Amino acid sequence: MTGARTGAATWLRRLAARALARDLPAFVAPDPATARALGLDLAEAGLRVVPTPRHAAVLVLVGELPEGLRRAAAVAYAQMPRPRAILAIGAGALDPLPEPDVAVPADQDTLARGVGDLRGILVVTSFSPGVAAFDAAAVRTERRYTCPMHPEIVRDAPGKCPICGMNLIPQEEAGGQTGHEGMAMDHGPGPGHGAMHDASGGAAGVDYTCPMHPEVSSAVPSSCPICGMDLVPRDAQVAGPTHNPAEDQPTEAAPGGYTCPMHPEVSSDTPRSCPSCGMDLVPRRAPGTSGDNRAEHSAHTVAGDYSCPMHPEVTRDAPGSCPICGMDLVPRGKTGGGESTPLHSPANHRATPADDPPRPGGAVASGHAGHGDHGSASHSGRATTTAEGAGGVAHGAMGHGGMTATAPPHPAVPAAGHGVAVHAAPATGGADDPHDTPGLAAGDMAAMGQTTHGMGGMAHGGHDTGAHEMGDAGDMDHSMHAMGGFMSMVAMTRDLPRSRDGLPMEWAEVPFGPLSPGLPGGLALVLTLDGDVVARATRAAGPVRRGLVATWPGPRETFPDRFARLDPLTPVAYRLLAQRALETAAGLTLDAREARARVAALERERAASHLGWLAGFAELLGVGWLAERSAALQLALARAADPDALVPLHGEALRLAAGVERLPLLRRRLAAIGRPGEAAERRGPVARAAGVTADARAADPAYRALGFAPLVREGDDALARLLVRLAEIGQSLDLAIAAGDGAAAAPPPRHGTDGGERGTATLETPRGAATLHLLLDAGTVREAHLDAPSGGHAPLIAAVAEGRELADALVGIASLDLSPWELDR
Amino acid sequence: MSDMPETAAGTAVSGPGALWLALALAIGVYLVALIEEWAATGRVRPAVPLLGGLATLARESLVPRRPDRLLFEAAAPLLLVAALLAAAVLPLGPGLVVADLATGALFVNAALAYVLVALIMAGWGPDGAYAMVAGWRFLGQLVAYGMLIVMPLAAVGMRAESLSTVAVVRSQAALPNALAQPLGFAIFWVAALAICFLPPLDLPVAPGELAGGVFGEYTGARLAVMRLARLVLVLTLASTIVTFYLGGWLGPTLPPWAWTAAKTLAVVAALLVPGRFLPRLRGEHLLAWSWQLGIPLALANILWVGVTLLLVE
Repeated sequence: MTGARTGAATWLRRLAARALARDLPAFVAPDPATARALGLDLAEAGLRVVPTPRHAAVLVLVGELPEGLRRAAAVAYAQMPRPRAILAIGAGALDPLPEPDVAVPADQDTLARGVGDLRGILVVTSFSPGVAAFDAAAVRTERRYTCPMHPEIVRDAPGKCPICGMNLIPQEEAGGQTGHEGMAMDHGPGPGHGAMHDASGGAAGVDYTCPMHPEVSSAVPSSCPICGMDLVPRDAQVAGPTHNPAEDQPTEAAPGGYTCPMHPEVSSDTPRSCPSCGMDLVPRRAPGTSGDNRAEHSAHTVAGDYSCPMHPEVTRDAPGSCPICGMDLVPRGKTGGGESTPLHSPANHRATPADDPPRPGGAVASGHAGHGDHGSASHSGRATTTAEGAGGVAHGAMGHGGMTATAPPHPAVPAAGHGVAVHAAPATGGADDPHDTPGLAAGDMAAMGQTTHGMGGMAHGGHDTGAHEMGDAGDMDHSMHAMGGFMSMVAMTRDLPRSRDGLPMEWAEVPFGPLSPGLPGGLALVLTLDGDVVARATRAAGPVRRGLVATWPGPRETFPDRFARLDPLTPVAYRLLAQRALETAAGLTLDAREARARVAALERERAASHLGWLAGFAELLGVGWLAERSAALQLALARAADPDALVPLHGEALRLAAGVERLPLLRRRLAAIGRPGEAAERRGPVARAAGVTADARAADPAYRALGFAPLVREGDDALARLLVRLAEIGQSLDLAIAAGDGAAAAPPPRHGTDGGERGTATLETPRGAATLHLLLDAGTVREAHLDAPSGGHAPLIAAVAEGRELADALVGIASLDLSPWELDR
Repeated sequence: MSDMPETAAGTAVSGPGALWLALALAIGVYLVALIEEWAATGRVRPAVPLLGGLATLARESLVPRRPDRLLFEAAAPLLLVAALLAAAVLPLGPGLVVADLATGALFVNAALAYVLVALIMAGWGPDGAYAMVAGWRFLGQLVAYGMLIVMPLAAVGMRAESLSTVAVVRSQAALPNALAQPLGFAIFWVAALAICFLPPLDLPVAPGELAGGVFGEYTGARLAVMRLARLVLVLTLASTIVTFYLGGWLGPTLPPWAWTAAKTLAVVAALLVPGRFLPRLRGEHLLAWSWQLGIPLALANILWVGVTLLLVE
C-alpha cells in the first residue's frame, strides 16, 4: 500500500491495523452526489463520508476526473494522515495520484466487495517499514523570501533586503490548486515530505507562465496545469511572485517609467537610484505601482486635512495625534469615500465573462464590490463619520492605485472617485493590481510572527497597497520598522482596508473548493475574507476544464454522445438538447410517443439533480436529517428501474417537501440570503424563485399535453429557490410518471439524413434553459455554440456573496446550483 | 461514601470522589459516543466508539506546515482540562463529588470560559483560514451565550441560598429547578448547547461550511484528544444541567448514582438529537436573540425566582 504508515508490524500495530480496517472515513472527489447519481451508496458499502481530508483514511474517486480535479485530489491525498488508501470507482487516468489501492467499476456490489478488499489490505499493510513518500508536482510547495517593501527582491534564503535592509519574510506558494486550500497544506516534518519545500521552479528560455504559479512555464500560450488560468507572457511578470492573478495583460514601463517606491515625484527613463533616498528605482508600471499610488493619492488628498479615524470632528493641518484618543491622525481625502456612489452599480461587477479568467476590468470592479456598502443608505446620510473616514482610507488603499495619468484624477469624477468610468476601464487604467505591492502592514504582520493565512504571503499582499498611501507617515513607519522599533497596533493596522464597521483587518484570500463540502464538486471559489465577511468572491476557473468544446465538431451521429459528456450529473438533458438541435437542422419532428419518453427521461433527471443539490445544500446548512433523506431519495431514484418504481418515490418526495416546510428556523435562516439584485440575469429555478415564469418547457407541446405549468415562487432568495426546487422534485416525478413508459430506457437517437445548415434548440435543463446553436455541413457538426444556464449564473457569485457573512455567502452561492462542468468546458 | 456536610467550606478535595468521577467519566464518554452515533445514524454499534478511537490514535498526527506550535499543541489538552475541571465540582451522589466548593456554580462558569480559549487556540494555531474563521466564530458565540449561562445560575443560587453544587441539588428536594424556574432552564439549555458547540450552534465546527473548522487541522492522536475533550464537554454540560435543574441524584427507589447517570444520559440524548432537524444558526441571529430576547428573559427569570422565594418562604 503506497499510503502505509512507517513502522514495523508489532503486535500493537497489528491490533491497530484491525481497528483501521473497521473504521473507514472517506473523502470523496468530486462529491458524494456524483456517487449517488451513479447509484452508489457509499455508507452502505461501509464508507463514512467526512468533510475534510484531514479526517479521512480513504480517498474515494468517483468517475473520470478531469486533470484539474485529479490535481486537487492529489493535494487532498497529501493532506490525509497515513495510513491512507485510494479507492477508485469507475475512474480513468489518475495521474498525478498514485495507483489506487482498489479500483472497481461503478456498481454497488463490486464496490462493496472492493471495500472488503480494502479492509483486507489495511489489516495487512497499514504499517510498513519502508514507505515511499508521495511526491507530485501538484503538492510541491516552494518557499522563497521576499522583502515586504520590495517585492521584486526574491531570494531562496532568509536575509536582509539589499535595498532597504529589512528582514526578508517567507513567502510560500502552494504548487497545486489544492482541494482544501484553506488549510495549511502538507505534513511538515513527516518523513519524505521535507523535500517538497525545496523544489524550485522556473525554467529559463520560455515565454509563457502562470500569473499565480511562476514555476509553470510554457513555450506556447495555454492554460496553467495547476490552476487552469491562461498563461501570460513571462515579461509581464514584473513584480514576480506576488503578481496579481487577475492580471493577464502585459504591461510595459512607460517613458519615464522608473520611479522611487518612496518618492513618486522622482521619474527616470533608466533604472538607477533615487536622488532623494538612494533606493533603487522600480519600474513604474502603467497601472498601480506604489509610486503611482502615492502620486494619485497626494493629488486628491486635500492639503492640511488630517483627521482622526475614530473622531472625525478632529481635524488638523498637519499630521499628529488625536487629542481625544491619541491615535495618529490620517489624511482625509476630500473625496471621503462615504458619499453615494451612483455609478457603482452592482451590474458593473459582472463584467467578467463566465468562461474566461478574470480580466483586469472585472478584477477592478470586483475589487470594489466589498465597498459597495459605502453607498448604502446607512452611510450616505452622514457627511463624515468614523466608518466613512476609515472607508475612505480603504478605498484609497484598494482601488485607486490603478489609476494612471491616463485616467482622470478623482476630483474630476463626480461620484467621489468611485466612478465605474475610472475603475472599469482596463484600456486606460489597466489592472488595478493590488498584488503588485505587498504592503508594509502585511509585511510587518508576518515579520512579527502573526500568521499569514491561506496561501501565505500571496493571500495578503494583495490588499495592502495602501501602505504607501500615507505619504510621510508611511515612510516613518517604514524606517521605524527597519530599525526594529516598536509599532503600535494602531500604526500597524492603519493602512489595512477597513470593513463596514470601520475595523481594520488583514484580508485573506481563501479558496473554497473544488472539493469543498457543501459546494458542488469541481466548483472552485476564491473568497477574500475581511474577518468573516466576504469582501470579494470570484470563481477560479480550471479544475474541471477538459477542452470539451474542441471535441464537439465531428460526425453528427456521435455528436449527442460527445455532447452529453458536458455535465456528468445531467447527461440526459445535454444528450436531448444535442438531438433536438440536430433534428431542427434536419427539419424532423418527433412523434408523440417519443416526445413523451424524452419528457420522462428529462424530468427524472431533473428530480435527481434537484435532490442531489438539496442534499449538498442541507449539508451546508447543517441539517443532517434533510441531507440524509434527500440523499437516500436521490439514490433510490438513480436505482429505480421502471416507471412503476417512481410512484412510491413521488409520495416520498412530497413528504420530504412537506417536512422541509415544517423545519423550524429554516425560513429565518434562508430568507433574504442570496439576492443578486435587480439587473442580474436569472434562469431556470433561480428565475422561477424570483417570480418569473421563465421555463422553456412551457413552449413544448409534449409538456403542454401533460398539463405542465411552471412553478413560481416569490422572494428571489435562497428560501424561494429551495421551495421552487422542492416543488419541482414532486412535479418532475409526477410528469415522469404521467409520461409513462420509455422513462428508463434512453430514447433512441434520431438523425436527419440531410437537411439544413443550422440547427438551434433550447431545452430546460435542471438548472435552466440551455440553448445550442449548431452549424452543420454534410453530415458533420462544424461548430457548436452552447449557452448554458450556469454560464448565465456565474456572475451572480459576486452579487450574492460580496458584503455577506461567510456562511450566508456560501448559502447564497450554493442556492444558485452552479454546475462547474458547464462553466469549465 | 460518607455524607459530606451540606455546604462545604473551603476547597477540600475528595479522593474517592475523584476515583468515582474518573470511572463515571470513562463510562459516560463511551455512552455519549454511542448516543452521538445513534443520533446521527439511528444505529447503535457498541464496538464503533472503541474501534474509531483506536483507529484515530493509529493514524499519523500531523503538524501543519507553519503552526503556532504552542497554541496548536495546547488547545486540545486545554479543552479537556476545562471540561474536567467543571466536572470536578458536579456531584454524582450525596458526598460523591471531587470538590464541593462554596462557589461551585461560579467555578463551573469559570472553568467553561476556557473552552473559548481552547477553541480560539485551536483555530489560530494551525495557520489555516477555515480553522481561524471557526475559532473567531466561537468568540462571537461566547458573546452571545456568556450572559445566558451566568444569569440563570444566579437564579439557581438564589433558590439554594448557596453556590455550592451540593446545596443546589439539595434545594431541589421539593421541586426540581426545571419546574420551579422553567424560563431559566430553557435559557441555560440553549447556553449549554452553545458552549459545547453542538448543532444547531456548531458554528466553530460547521462541517459543511468550514470542513471541520477548529477540528479540521487535527489528525491522529491530537484529534483523538480533541474528540475526547468534546465528549467530556458534552457530558459535563449534561451533568451541569442535571445538577442545577433536574435535581441531581434526587429521585425515588433507585440509588442516587443511578439517578444521576440516567438523568445525565437522557439530557445528552436530548442535547444531541434536535440538531439533526435544525439548520445551523446564523451568528448574527444568535447574537440578536441572545441579547434582545435571552437577557430580558433571564432577568425576568431572576425576578420571578425572587418573587416566588419571597412569597413561598
